[in-house]
Amino acid sequence: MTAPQHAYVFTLTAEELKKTIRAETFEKGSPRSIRKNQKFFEKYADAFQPGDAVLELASGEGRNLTLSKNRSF
Amino acid sequence: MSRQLLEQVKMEALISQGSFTDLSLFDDASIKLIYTQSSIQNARTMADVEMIFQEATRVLMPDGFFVLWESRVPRHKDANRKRRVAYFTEEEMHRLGSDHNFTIYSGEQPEDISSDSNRVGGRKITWTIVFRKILV
Repeated sequence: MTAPQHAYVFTLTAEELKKTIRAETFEKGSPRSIRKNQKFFEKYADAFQPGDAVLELASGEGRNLTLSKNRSF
Repeated sequence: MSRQLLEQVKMEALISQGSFTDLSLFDDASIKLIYTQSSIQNARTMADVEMIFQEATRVLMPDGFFVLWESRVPRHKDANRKRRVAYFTEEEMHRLGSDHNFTIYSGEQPEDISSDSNRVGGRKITWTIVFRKILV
């Protein structure tokens, strides 16, 4: 079974992500991406409790995807 | 770079390089939200994607979210699927969800949060889909 050569996962808590969004810390991130993520958490905020784990599955084919590049939260 | 940014914003996170077809690092039902952003489209085969969904089902909490921002149409010259999956058709995305115990919570129906998705010629080219694990 083949698998991507470049795969990264990282976890943050949902609370940390929400803090990050509020602070708009990742200034280099794409505004569209920030809006998408804000929209998601605004919509589903009640579903999350402090300490909930969040996992990103990131990958790239020859690209060096990073938190800033991949933006996310 | 990821680690530098995390230090910069004083956040801690586990960053691991491996394969997203193997999430054995994480316990069953331990994750509230999994999200992808133009990433699982880089899986080499649909069989890999099936494994990703299997693993997502395993590690997500019973009411967990699986949020995907992925391509829905071929966008690159290598999108013939000889090298990677590259995009997901509507039929594929819906089947992946239903085969792996997810319901479409939002994104396509009944509520659409994809209004800011990329569009080309009036056509959506990016999935913004929220699956939620079905409570059993």
